[in-house]
Formats: sequence, structure tokens, C-alpha cells
Amino acid sequence: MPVVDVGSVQEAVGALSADRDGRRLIGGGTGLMLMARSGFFVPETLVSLRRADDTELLDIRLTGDVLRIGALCTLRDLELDPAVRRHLPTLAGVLRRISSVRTRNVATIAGCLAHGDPKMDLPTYLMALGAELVVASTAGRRRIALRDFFVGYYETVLDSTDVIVAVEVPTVQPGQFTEYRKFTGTLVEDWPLVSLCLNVDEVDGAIDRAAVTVGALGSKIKRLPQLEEWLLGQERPEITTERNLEELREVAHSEVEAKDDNLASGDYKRKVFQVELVRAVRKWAVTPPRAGFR
Amino acid sequence: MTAQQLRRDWTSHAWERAIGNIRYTDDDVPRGMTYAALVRARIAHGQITSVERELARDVPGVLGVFTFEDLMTVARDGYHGTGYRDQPMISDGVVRHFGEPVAVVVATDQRIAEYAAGLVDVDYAPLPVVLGDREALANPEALHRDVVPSADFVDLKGLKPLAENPNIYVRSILRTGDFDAVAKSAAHVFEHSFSTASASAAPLETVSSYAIPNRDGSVEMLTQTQMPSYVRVQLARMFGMSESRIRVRHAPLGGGFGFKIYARTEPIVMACALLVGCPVGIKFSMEEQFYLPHRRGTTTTISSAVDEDGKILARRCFIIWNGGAYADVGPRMVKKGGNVAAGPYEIPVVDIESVGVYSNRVPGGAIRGFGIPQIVWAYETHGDIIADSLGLDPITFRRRNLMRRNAVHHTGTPLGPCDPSMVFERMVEELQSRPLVVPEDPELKAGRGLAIALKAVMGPTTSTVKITLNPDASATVHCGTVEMGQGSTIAIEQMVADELNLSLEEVKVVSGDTDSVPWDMGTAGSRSTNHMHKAIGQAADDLRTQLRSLSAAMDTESQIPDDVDPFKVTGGVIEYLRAGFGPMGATLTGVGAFTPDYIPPDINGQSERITEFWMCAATAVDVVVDSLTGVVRIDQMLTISDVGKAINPESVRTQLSGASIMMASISLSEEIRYDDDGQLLNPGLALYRIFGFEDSPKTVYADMVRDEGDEVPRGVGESGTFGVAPAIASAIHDAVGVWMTDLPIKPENVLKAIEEATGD
Repeated sequence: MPVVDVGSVQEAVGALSADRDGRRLIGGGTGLMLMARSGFFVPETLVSLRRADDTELLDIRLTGDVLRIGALCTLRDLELDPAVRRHLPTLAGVLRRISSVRTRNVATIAGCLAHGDPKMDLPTYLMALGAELVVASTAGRRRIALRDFFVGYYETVLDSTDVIVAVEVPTVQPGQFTEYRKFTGTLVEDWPLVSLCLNVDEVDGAIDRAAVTVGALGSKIKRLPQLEEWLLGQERPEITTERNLEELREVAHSEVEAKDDNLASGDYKRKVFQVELVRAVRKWAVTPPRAGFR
Repeated sequence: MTAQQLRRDWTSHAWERAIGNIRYTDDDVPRGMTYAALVRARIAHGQITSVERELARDVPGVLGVFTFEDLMTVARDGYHGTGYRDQPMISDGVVRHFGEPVAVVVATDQRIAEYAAGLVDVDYAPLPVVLGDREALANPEALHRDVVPSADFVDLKGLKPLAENPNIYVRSILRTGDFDAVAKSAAHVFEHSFSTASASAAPLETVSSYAIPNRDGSVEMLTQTQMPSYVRVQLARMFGMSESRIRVRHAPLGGGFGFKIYARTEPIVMACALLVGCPVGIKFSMEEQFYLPHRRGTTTTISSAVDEDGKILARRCFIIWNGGAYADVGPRMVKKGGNVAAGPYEIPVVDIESVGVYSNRVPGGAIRGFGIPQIVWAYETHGDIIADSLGLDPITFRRRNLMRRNAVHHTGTPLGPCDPSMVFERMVEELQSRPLVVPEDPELKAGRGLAIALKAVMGPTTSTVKITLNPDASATVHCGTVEMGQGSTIAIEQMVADELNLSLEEVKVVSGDTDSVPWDMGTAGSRSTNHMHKAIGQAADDLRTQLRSLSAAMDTESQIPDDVDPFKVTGGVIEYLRAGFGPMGATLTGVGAFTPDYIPPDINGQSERITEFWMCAATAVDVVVDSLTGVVRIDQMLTISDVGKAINPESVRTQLSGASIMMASISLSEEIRYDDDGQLLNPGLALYRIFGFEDSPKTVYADMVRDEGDEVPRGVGESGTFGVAPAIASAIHDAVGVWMTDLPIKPENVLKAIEEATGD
């Protein structure tokens, strides 16, 4: 596979437009190269921004209440960055359970999203936090909310000539609680069999805004509006009464579906989702509200 | 040597391996190597109808594209195998398992060979695929016709497939009485069924081998093998060459586990090298290794008649070993597994039938314990369920039934110094000092389980050794034992140093080359240290005799008295050598060859000497079960093993604990999966999941126990694996009250059992 190195986002869009079917943009290559090696998907030519010295692609910048993360930032960059640790304090913990340091050293945030694999951890987490993507194309730039980004199994709204420039993530605010649950089954280190992220804002002990995402279970990572609706207005500690939790499980049961696969039955995965959701909610119920930290 | 010295020796030895200072086979590939890549079948069973190779042949750099017929132009016999010669070098026109090689491409570069292999188009006429254990047993269509027994091993004499069902390539019987007669009048009769999945050893040093043809017609084979001598035997036979013309070399292995035994890729590269006339190598990826033999899956039905007090009166076992497409090590495993299927228990009547069947799975091999862990899984879990049903705790139940000192095994062979009750009591004592830790989270349940098992060493087979005394009385030892991380080199050095009264620095072990080291059956089946110990003793005696006759030339007072060991005379050896050969001295070589005595069993499986020695080990684990998801994590794992004399106790402990961790992974996580068409679904470590550090028990402990006065080393590594799976199952029952009967133990099945038990 030949690699075309390009020096800027504009050049990348141009290079991809020159042969939209045969060329593919590569980030860290940790996903794409596995696919190519197994013969599952083999692009004719790779387009790479690895030699571009465009700071927009590499910087992590705080603008107001938004952390703007350049597309080529590696997962390891994010894990160690002081601004990320301060403003997205739960992210490092999520990252540490993704693959190995060696992989995190090369995997990029944009590649991790564009891959469209529902078993990825990071998109499930970022979607719950309300992340948005900045995407460049032949028609100029546009913004895409991560919740609207995934279309299906390994499928996103991106056109083959689109280039992700940055990911913007709202920073954590006082009163906010985020819990990412990764259930791997037997092994501690593995892809998730079930994953979910709960991200809520509380005001005076009640949930004021809720985002719940589910990964790994279906063909794409998605938000769960019925669960979010149910969570609104719930108070601590009453949310953890058995009656409330039973209701929560019922909502989860009706909203979350899962298919059988080689690893587990859909039935089992649905049950585990409920267990992990309850554990996340319980954790919120016993965690003191986050104070202002500036 | 002091314990501290032994510990230091082992640590420095292990350290070299841990930091990658060892040179492995692939670190020293000769120049001018060309590479073979295999075209693999995409179906599990069928007749090859055409092989289109023009496209591949036209790729620049390709030296040849060969089918079985092509390889046969340089081979005398294209088949190999230890029980039966049923396995062709590559498919002989019929594909019998998914991923079987159907053609081989040789090119100047490995990538070119792999690319060209992808261009070879193969067509098949599919045949019915049989995968399951019981389906294989019931399969009316013979997978092989007219298989030829190999006759390589004494204990496989007379082997032949069953006339009424040729898919049963071996049936082993052990019978000491009539089970039904006892069961009729027994207070209780229990019957349970247990299964194990196929698993892969997946050594991190992936398989490779390199054949280098010489101008004089001899061939050098650089390969990764636990059995260099036997590989040479097989190659010599297959290619019609004298063994002296074949040189098998190997480096220390990066993982063996019973996976790198017998001929694997060697015949293929040898045939290719002879065809293209230049060195040909093959190097498997991790994914490709999954088409080499697996730990075979089993289904075991086991019944026990038990009296009021929990004493086992009779036991019946029926074991199906799913051997896959080729018998490989199967005939021996089926026999040896069947022999010990009643466990280390005093049972007056046992009736065991053990059968090996062909199927369209990847062939079954030996991994970690030669089939014994699959058997122990059945009888120990069965025993625990019985104890539970009778309201007995697992310790009391075992105490009532365990074999004791000087017991005679069900086969009729005495246990010798091996005493299961001693091993068991040592474990019970250890457990008493380690109370079970109960987690604070009420959703997490803790439990403890234990298991004990017995195994006979592989055999009867021969180990030989050549010890050369150098003029300065130091020793160079030539032997065929293969170092693969288990510490055999250091153990042999220590045994020779002890025998010859030398320091470790004065002993050097030479191995890894059949041109210089004498025969050894192989480093497998827990035989090496024991057999080599005995061979070393013979070689040392040989040297003693020679030294005595050399000293005859000396003054009467300098000669060696009959009651004095010449190696114990300070400065003596150098003087004897000088007395015999002049002031420079010379080398003196002593040889030893050890083969155990063996009496073939009668038709009921009875023999007074079926094995050279027995090994017994107990395992205990503490688990934590997530009662809402069924996830099992091991908190603590203990192994107590009777290894006889531990030559280097520190290396024995690390071997035992390493083996137990690997078996914990196989018990909880590892499973080769097939779809209905027989396609292997999870080759490679991305999909076939093995334990990482975080999955390993927080505490791993191993120790040894032996009979007073037992100064003979026995087997080590395998014994750490025996009881792991049933101990885990027993601990799960202790934690959440359910019995698991299928391996691996998956969270979903644990949860399902919990829900069934609580009526959810």
C-alpha cells in the first residue's frame, strides 16, 4: 500500500478527492492496518497527515468551556495532557483501559471516531459528554455532533473525502458526574462486551440534564433518550430504592437491544447492561456533587 | 549448594530470558534463505478438484508452487504421525480440516511467498463436516481409510482402528470389576457429564523451521522442536535418508508446552528445499499457529457408586477425545488419560473406557499436562458434587477416599514414593494459614475450592547422555534435553555438578544439535529431569570405572580404593587423567542411557509396571464471583506438588506457578470456536483471548512436598496444571452455590446457573 504524505488538511481533502474510492485517510493505523492485514479491507493507497505540521491538528486548546482536541492527538497525548486531566478528569481512566500504551501511543482521536467500530471505548464516552467534530471537505468546514455521527456498523456520516480536523468536548462543570462502565467479561483487558456512559448534571440533589450512551451492543454507538428522560428529575438517594431501580431496569430493557454473537447471547448482554447501568447510577447517588474547581 | 545459591542461579538464568538476551531460532537464520508460504483450505472437509497456480507462478521471485504430488517427487513417504502415519505433509487431495495446507509457494522473500499464496485458486467438492465429540463418535463415514500404525512406540504396539467404527482410532480399557453389580447394592449412585473445549498453546515464539540442503546431499534442519531426535527419525524415514545425513539444530524455545513436538512444518520445508535446491524456511504468524494441533476437546461421562459414609465403591468413566483430522499424539493420550480417569482414590472397582475419534476439527495435540487436566476436570468436579449431595465437605470426602502411602494404582502399578494423602494434607495445612478474604461489596461473592490429581510419566522412552571429563577435570555434558524456559539446562548442570563433585562453573551443557548430542526422546511429558538424572548416574559410574583403571598405573597408595568415589578425592581426577595420558591429560567420556522397565497392560489394562513414576499435585483457588454478571476472578491460587527431589527448588516453584496460571487462562477464557461449517472463528490473540497480568491471581503460591528419603527427581511443570479447572469450579460453587460442568467457565453460563438456582 503506497502512502501519500500531505502537508495540510486542504491537501488531504484534495488527495482524497483525486481518487475517492481507492484512497483512504490513515490516522495511527491501529484499526485500519489490522483490517488490511486480515484482508478484510485493503485500500489501494493511504493518505497520511503524519508529516503535516499544522498545529490545529496537534494542539489541545481550551476556549471558554470547550476543549478543542486536534485530530491527530494520540490517545496517549490525551491521557497525559494537563489540560485534559483538569477539564476532563474522567478521561484518563477510560483511556488507561484501552489496549496497551504502545497502541495508545499511535492511535489518534480522529481515527478512533472515524473507524466507526461500536466496540471502541472513547466514542461512547465522548458522545455522552456532548462532543462535536469539526470536519473539512471540498465544500468547506462543517460541525457534526458525535450523537449524529455513527450510521451503522463501521459506518459514519463522513464522505470518503472528508477529513476530521478537531474534536470539541465541553469541559466538566460543577455538579457534573460522569461514569464510563466497560464490561469485558472474563478478561480485565479486552474489548468491551457491554459499555455505557452516564453523564449527568445535578442541581440541588436532582438530575437536571442526563446523557446515556451505549456501545458494543448494537451496530453503532448511540444515545438512549428514554433512559435520559427517566433520569431527569431523579433525586439522590431515592433513585436507588429497589422500586426505582426496577423501573430503571425496565426502561433499559425496552430501549436497549442486543444480538447474539460468538461471545455471548443478546439476552446476557442486555442483562449486563442493566447491571452496569444500575452500578453507574448508584455511584452517582453516593458521590458528593462536584464542586467548582477553579 | 546452598538454597541461596540455587535461587541466585535460577534468577540469573530466568532474568536472561526475561530481558530477551536469549538467542532464539529466528535470531540466527542462515543467509540465502528463501521462504515457503502455505495455501490453506477454506473448507473443513472435501475433495480438492483443482489447484490453479499459474498466477502465483508468474509473480517475480516465486521459485515454485507445489502440491502434495510435487512434494512426493522428493519424499519416499509423505505421511507422518506417532500413533498412525495418517497425516500428509500437506493435504493429499482430501481436505480434512479448515486451514489445512493444500499447496505451498516458495519465493525469494517471505512477503512475496505470502502474496503469491493468496493468488492460488483451489476448488473443492465439499464433503459432510463433523465437529462435535458425540457426532464424531456416531459418524458412519470413515474420515480415514486404511491408516498405517507407526509402530514407533512400545506402548502403542498393536494399535489399530476399531473394525466396527474406523473413526475410533484407539480405545483403551481399564477394568477391575463389574460397576453395575456394585452400583445395584450401593447406597448412592451418581452420574455427571463434563466437557472441555479445544484450546491452543499459542507460544509467543511462533513456529518456524529452516531446511538447508548441502552439496553432499545431507540436509540441515534448523527448527523449533521439543523432540530433535525424533524429528530426525521422522525426516530420515520420510525422505529415505540415513539419520547421519540429517542434522537437526535448535535454539532454546520461546514456549513449548507440548505444542512443539513431533514433525510439524519440518517435512514441508525439507521437501521444498530438496525441490528448489536451496535453503527454504517457513515462519508462522500467530494466526497461522492456530492451525497446528490444539488441546483436544473432551466429553466425559463419569458415574460413582458410593456407600452411606461417602466411600467410593465403584467408578465408571467414558471419555470421548475429539482428535480432529489426524490422530497425532491421540493414541497415547487416550490410553494415558484413561488409565488415571478414576483419580487418586482407593476404589475397589473401576471400569474406564477411553476413545479417540477423528473429526473435522484442527488435529488435537498435547498441551500442558498431556490430556490429564481434562480428565481431572471431570473426576474432581464429580467428586465435589457427590460430597455436596451427601452433605460432606470436600476435604472430608477426599480424606475418606484418597490413596495413601504405598498404595497400588488401579492399573496394578504401585505408586512408589508418591503419596496423594501427604500432598493433600500439606495443602490443607497451607489453606488453614490463609483465610478466605470476603469482599465488602455484597454483590461480589468469595469462595474456595481445591482439587488433587495423579499422573503417570510418559513412556517408556530413552534418554542418553555423554559426559566428557576435560583434562582439568571440568565436565562437558552432551544431551538432547531442550531448554524452553523450564530450567532444564540449570537442572542438568546441577545434577552433573553434584554427581561429579564439581562447581556449576565447571560444568557446561551442550545441546541443540543432533550431530553432537546423543538420542533423547524429547522434552515432554514430565520425563526429562528424571530420565536424565538416571542417565547421568550411569555416565558418572562409567567415568568412575574408567578412572579406576587409569589409576591402576599409579603407585599402590595413589590408586582408588574400591570404597572411595574417585570424584571425592581432592585433585584426584586430574592425577588419574595424567597417569593414564601423560602430563597434559586427555578427555575421558562416560555415557549413560536410561530406559524405564515396562510391562504392557493386559486386556483389562492391568500391569505391574505401566509407568516409571507417578506425580501427584493439589491445587487450591480462592475466587471472587460477580453474582450479577457471572464474572469469575481468581484471587489466590496455590499449588502443592510432589516432584520428588527438587533439583532447583526456586525453578520448580516458578514452573509450577507458571503452569497453574496458564491453566487458569484455559479454564476461564480460552476456547477454539468453530462455525457450523467447521471454519475456525478465532485464530490469533486478538480473538482468542489469553490471560494477561491483570487476570492472573493476585497471589500465586507453589511449594513441594516429598516422602522422606525420596532422592529422585520426578516431573514438575505438568503437575501445576492438573487441578486448576476443578478447583475453580469448586470455588465457584462455594461462592454462589452452582456447579459448572463445561470448560471454559464463561460468565454467561455462571449467571445462567445462578438464575436457575435462585429461580429468577
